[in-house]
Amino acid sequence: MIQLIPGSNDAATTETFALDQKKGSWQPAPAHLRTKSFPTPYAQAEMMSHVLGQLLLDAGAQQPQPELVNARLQQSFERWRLLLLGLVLGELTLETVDLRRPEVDNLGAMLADLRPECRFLGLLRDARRQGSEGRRLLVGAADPMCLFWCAPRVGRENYWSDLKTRIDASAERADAMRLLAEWRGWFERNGLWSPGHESAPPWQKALQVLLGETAPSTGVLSSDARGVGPLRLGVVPRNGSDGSEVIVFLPQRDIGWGARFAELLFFQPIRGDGGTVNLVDPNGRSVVTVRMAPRDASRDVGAGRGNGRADTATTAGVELLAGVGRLEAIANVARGHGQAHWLEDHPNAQGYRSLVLNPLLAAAAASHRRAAVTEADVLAFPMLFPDSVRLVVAQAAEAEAGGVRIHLSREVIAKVESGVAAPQSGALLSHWTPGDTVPRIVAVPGGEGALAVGLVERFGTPARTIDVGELRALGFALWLYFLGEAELRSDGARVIWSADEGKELFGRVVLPNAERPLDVLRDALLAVRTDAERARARDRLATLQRFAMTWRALGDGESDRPEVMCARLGRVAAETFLAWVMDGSGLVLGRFGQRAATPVEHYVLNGPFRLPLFVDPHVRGE
Amino acid sequence: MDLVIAIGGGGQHIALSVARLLRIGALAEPIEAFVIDADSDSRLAGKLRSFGNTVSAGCQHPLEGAEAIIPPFARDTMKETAFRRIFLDDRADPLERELFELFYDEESGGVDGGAGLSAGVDIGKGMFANPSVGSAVFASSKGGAMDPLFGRARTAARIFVVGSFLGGTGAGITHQLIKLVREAVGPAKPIYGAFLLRWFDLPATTGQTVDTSTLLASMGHGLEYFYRYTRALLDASVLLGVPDHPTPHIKAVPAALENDETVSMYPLLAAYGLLMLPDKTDTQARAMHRTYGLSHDEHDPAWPLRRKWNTPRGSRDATLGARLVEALVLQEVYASFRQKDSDFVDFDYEKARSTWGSLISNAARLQHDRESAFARKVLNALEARGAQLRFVTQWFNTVFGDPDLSLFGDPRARQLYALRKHRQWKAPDAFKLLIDAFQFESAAGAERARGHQPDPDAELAMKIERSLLAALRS
Repeated sequence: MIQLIPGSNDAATTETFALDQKKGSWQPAPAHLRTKSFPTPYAQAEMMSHVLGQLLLDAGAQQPQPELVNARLQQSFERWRLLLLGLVLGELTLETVDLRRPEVDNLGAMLADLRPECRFLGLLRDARRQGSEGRRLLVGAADPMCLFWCAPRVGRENYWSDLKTRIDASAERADAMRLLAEWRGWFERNGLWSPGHESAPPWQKALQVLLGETAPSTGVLSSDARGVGPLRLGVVPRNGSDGSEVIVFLPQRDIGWGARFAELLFFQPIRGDGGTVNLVDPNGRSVVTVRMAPRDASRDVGAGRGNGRADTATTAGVELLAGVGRLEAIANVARGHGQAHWLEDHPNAQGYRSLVLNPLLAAAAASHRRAAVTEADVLAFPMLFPDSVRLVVAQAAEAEAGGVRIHLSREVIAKVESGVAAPQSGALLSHWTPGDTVPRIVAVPGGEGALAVGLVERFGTPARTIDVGELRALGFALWLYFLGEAELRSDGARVIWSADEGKELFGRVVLPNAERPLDVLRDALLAVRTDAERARARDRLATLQRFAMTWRALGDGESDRPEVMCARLGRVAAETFLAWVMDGSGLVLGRFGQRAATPVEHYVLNGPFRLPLFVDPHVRGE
Repeated sequence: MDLVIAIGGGGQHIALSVARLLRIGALAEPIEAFVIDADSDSRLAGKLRSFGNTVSAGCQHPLEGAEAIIPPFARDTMKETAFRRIFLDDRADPLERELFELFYDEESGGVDGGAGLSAGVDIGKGMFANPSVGSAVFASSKGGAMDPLFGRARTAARIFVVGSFLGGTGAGITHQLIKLVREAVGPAKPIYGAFLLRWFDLPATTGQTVDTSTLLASMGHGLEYFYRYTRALLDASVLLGVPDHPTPHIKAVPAALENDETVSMYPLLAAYGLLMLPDKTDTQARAMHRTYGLSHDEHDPAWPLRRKWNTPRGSRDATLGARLVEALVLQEVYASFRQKDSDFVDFDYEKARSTWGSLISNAARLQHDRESAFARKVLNALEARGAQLRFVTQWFNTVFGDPDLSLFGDPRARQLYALRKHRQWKAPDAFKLLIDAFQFESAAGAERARGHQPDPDAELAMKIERSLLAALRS
């Protein structure tokens, strides 16, 4: 018996035999690969999948290169590599087109009918090369199985060698590889990385070949990368109830994007027209728009010849692909930095969580076919969510781990630099134990609402630390009070440097919408940024010792009591001031000296929350 | 009613096999066909439509629906046949233009204002072995001529999609068509597929759009697509093609010239899928989507004749060989009637007046016709039916090399086949069978009525043939 099937030399023992796997011998030889033989308009994508599917996962394996023997072949692993790295490096942009839109007429409708899962087609355009009709050159497209495929016509323009030069000459190429490895890591952690599986989508195999054992970057996805997309991507389901595709965002390097995004959250979210929310800077200028609903296709009827087909094209269940959550109209520069963090609601206005985050989580749940999406889900696989969700949730988690949201002073805002996120939270003094490391940022106790007044000593990363000095300046004011050179004004609103022309050291300030009960004022800050006051303090070591003894005796006790929290505030400020004074002096304060036992008076923050003010017992003659 | 959807040239070859098998009773009625091809004027299409020039008012096509070849797109009413112009006219949005050129290279999609090769594919002249173009043309032409297909598919008991993964039209549209049919009928309706892989060779030529390597590329990529997307839409399927080291009986034959029928065993085996696939499909495990191949017994090249096909009522031999024996005997019987036509038309044979003569007389009277004239019409109708049987058996003879069928058939048929084979057949043998057949007249009935009522003489000829078959099987 002979099997009646091409590619078979097998003897048969039965009249029929199963052919549940395609035979390798059916595959055309590399020289005979022929894209147009795929029975679909998506033939280029199919060919890229085919080519990537032939890659070998064995380390060091000689990879097949059918393009070397088949000049007509437009799809190759090398070009796939260029597209992917080009996108990550920002040489290419990714634009999503709804094939049901009227502009793309019967071609779009045909393509969307054939593969409904590809209705939202990702188009890759070169960021530098001009294409037709004033658009950027269209060089490829996205596909769930192969991730990217090449436009078949750009090869004639010598495009690929040009792109290769740009990619391979890029100093950031290695960083891009590490970033992709970090992105791959999220698939691994979620059990969706299986390039060696028999039904693995070719894109995973290709990415594995590209990255190999490349070490992932750490945290760059959340600090220096935008999420672009989203795209549908094939995966091997973890179990029978899982889908075989995920909607995912790809990373594009953008140094400082995480910090920039954090800055955006200091802008008030205000509902805009057409299903958008605008983030508005302190001068009322919309700095970025978050799309909360798909573009209103009905407004586009007449733009093409589709007879309003887009009207009926529902976006239910594909919200993310339809652009929900996308950041639009991003202005490069905002006029001023907001002082108040707008994640949570303010007394008279809804915050980002209410207006943006929660609706987007609901939209993401619909898109990901889940009953609900929580912030824990976002943290578990951030790249499944747009930046408007993933960065907010990540930053919120990071901030909340250290304390509570804070309202920043103008001084802090003035210090914010590009690429360094403004601080979002401060340490809760009820959680701080005297004797522990002194926090860099504290939440002043006694605040009302979701935001506390924040006092910031310094912020940023170890590599880029920005000094503000609010805590040591407060400590300095307490020091001056201790010396008898400062006093609480009779209205109780300010502590002034009575020995120096009545300069204001700290007190309450009235902002446009609220009162800030404790603001460290300009003269105090200036004093702790020069060495004159530091030198003067070092000259009074014995007094410094009594000052230290006074404050180091405070702050113990039940941490939720207002007086304990306020004492800790003063103690943190004093310790920060003392550390600044003693830094580099080679001197150490001893554990002796008389301390002031009782405060002379209190600076009232809010009701029972009162900051004690002490005077040196020698000055008082105790 | 089962529905056979035959796509492209390969589909038409299989549809011809199905028609032949239906004509000799190796497949059970009712089966309806929906034949799709861009080229409805080829010799192959003509042969299928006319069943080898044997279809007439008195002798219907054995495969209902095969008289029409439906183009997969409205070619005749298209203003433009350039593939590019189906999507891009002068008002096309720049984005649509960009998308088109993203999906299709210059060779397939052409360029604006291009002429000759730079105009891209002219679908009015065919798909040029370009399934990616064929699939897009088909997908963009939903509705129109294809519309009736989906209605028929919904009412069919079972659906068989037959075709090949070679060429341009069939290879291009088969997958999309299956997808649309599945969407139309829902998940519960059984859909099976029988597909030819490489089964013929093109002559070695140069400078042609299509050559054997082109066909093999379409086959390979078509199969890749089939396994990835299409197979799961079918309940079961069979793939057939020439193995790498074929014996003479199963090697690829040269493709027929001028797009005529290529005679080969493979379309017959694909038609066997109509019986084999439902038999092998576990209706309780529909998600299995099994794909099968068939084995060839090189020691018994005529093995398909030994397979059990449809078992007609009264017969105890369900083999294809048995049906061929009957077809050959019937041809001999009709030839004998013609040889002794005066005996037939004047009822000058034993017991004629008490059997068929009486029936024919009554029918003639109802038609206000003379007995002998009406009887001659019946004889003519029988001869036309004989021509159909000859169209069938000649094809089998070519494929299997005039096989010896002595061991096939029910006893009476086998006995008469032996007389024919040994050239001992005499006309009285035919008349004796005719007289014996009359006892089955009342039970034989007529063929299934389709659309219009056949002429009385044709109807009577059908009844005679059925009675003769009943006698052969008794």
